[in-house]
Amino acid sequence: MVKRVSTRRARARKVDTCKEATSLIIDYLNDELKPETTLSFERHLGMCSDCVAFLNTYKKTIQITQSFLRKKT
Amino acid sequence: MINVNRAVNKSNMEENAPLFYRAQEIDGLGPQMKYSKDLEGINRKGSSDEELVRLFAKYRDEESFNEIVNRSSDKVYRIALKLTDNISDAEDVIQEVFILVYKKAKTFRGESRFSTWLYRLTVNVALTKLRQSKRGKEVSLDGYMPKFREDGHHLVRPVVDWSQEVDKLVLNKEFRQLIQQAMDQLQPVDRAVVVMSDLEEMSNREIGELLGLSVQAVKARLHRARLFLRGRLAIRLGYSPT
Ligand SMILES: [Zn+2]
Repeated sequence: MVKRVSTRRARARKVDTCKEATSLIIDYLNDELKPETTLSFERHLGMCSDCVAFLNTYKKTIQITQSFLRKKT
Repeated sequence: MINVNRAVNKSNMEENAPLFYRAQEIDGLGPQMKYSKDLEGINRKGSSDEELVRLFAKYRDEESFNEIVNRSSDKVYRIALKLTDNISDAEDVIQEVFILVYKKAKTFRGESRFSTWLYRLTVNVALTKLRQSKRGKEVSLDGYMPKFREDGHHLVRPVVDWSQEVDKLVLNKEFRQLIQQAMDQLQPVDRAVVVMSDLEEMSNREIGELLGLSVQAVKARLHRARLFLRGRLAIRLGYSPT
């Protein structure tokens, strides 16, 4: 058990840059990040309006694609 | 526009019988149905898919085959249409899929459910079809991938949040054409990943199983496709795609 927790910690990622944040978007939206990584990701968003804009437009893209595909069927 | 009637017609018995004979002809093996007492009194409508495939594989039982087609052709058509986005391609896919079912029924081991096996066949046939008809239409996604400075910041700053602005455009016909075109420019596999994820709401694992990709590969394709679509929207609004 203890070992598992420590691997989990080791795999959590610290989000320092926009590049890292962007690469985590898909896992973030799927809620697949380690809790620590999610915190770190959100902390970055709190400081970076560029990444907020990037995330919002990324989410919007999914929404638009989804409603486009749904309307077709 | 989708002609639902066509899909429904596909499941008429009268249309299925020729499919059986066509498959038989293409298959070339041509052995007629083997009569067996095992087939007597079998209620095919009440049999499971797996049982029908077994009966067909063992006895080349035409009625079992037709029942399989009856049950599943709408589903096959529906998936094929979503993946190919083209009615005539989707109709070809139905034909090809059931010819494959005819040929490969013996290889169905019952380790997975028949519906999963059929779904996989359909996806493969539809992707092959899509590759043939879309040849050369795909574009490189590289120009749409985000670019960063050495310190890891976005290269083009500020990144503009156009998520509200785009709402005014979504009902616009020209805007829908833009999305259609962008979807068409995706590689068939990428398009399939987007359709399965956004429309079918499958998990990355399920998508991976159907397409023979790792979960990581599914995520990577999905991410790239989304970045491409995002970039296309951004350009339309007059902003940087990256
Ligand atoms: Zn950032």
